[in-house]
Amino acid sequence: MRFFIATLLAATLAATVVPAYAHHANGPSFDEKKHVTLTGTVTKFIFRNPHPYLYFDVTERNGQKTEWVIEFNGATIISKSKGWSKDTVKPGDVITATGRPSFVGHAMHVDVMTRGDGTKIY
Amino acid sequence: MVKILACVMFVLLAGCSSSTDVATPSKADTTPTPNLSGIWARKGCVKDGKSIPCLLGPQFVDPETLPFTHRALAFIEAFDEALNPKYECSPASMPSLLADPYDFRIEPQTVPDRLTFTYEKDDIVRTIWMEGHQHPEPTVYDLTIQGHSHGHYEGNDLVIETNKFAFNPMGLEDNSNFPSSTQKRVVERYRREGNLLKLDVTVEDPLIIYEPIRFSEEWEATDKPLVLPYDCDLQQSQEPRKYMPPGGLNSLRKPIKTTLHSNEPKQEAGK
Repeated sequence: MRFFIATLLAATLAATVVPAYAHHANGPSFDEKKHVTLTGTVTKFIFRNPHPYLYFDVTERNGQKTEWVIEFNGATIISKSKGWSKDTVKPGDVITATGRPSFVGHAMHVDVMTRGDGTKIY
Repeated sequence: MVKILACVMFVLLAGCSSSTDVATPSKADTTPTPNLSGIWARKGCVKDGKSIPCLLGPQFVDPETLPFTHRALAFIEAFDEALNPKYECSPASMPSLLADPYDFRIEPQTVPDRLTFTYEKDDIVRTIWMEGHQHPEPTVYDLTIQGHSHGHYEGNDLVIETNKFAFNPMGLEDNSNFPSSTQKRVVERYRREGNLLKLDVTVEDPLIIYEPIRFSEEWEATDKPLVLPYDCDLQQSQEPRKYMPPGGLNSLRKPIKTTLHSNEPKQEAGK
């Protein structure tokens, strides 16, 4: 897992990045005190309520691929606030995501996401 | 003379006079009901004049600052997050329903005996039975997630009282497993001020909180249509369980696991 952790932001920085109560908080499966940033290739995106999930492959330093899962705020919410739809991200897209990692497994609740060219989309 | 005095007394005490024989509409009959219909987008929550998180959860509010009873805190400590019915697409209920930034619509009142509230969240539709309705009252075990709502107008305010809720492990706050019992009673008082819809909420539930919780919330009128249907996906709903520690999430929440303390007043024997 240490290979995946590219960035660990201080709690104070996190507090400025995450609007504390602007939206439904992520579920308690995710560690509010940690942040992780990962880059990978999208394999599947399911844009449904209560939470959309994006699956993407992250390549470790040894070349092995590990599937990570990104949880978003509700599909209804991000469709209105960010203009997202089921077509916003497609398999094959390269994305970089920063979010709070889960306590178990390879998952995060996303706070920021960019495309491969650096365009911020979330 | 005695008859005159008796008549005067009768008029004073009973309001009896020749003028009252004429049927005149009461003030309530002539006062137009406030029009609260429209689509409303949440602005935020307020308590004691200050902006507060709309979530009551431990991420934002120390559970010990809420008036939980001993039995409620015991439940919160013992409850396994994975069993939360929200992971089965079970809808939120009042007041938990107010915690999320979803819009809702108060439908135009086309019939006098009911109001309908439509929420983006969880495809919830609430029927508010207004004064004079002929809808059957719920029976003793007619308990539901959304409860049974009665409404009436007080001047420009719409007052809704809801009870007959089913026990709900997330009935007070669904992000923190703050439960509610069949004794939950929620009073909502809505009023329109220009483009704003203001709401005062009072929640009572003697099994869960030893004194009422009160907070306020505001919405702004919006032209954006509701995004419907919500269409909760069961498989997506269950996904978070995969990322929960086998020992339960409460094992990670030190403040909840070991230090919760209720300030519930001790009851005197026999009461």
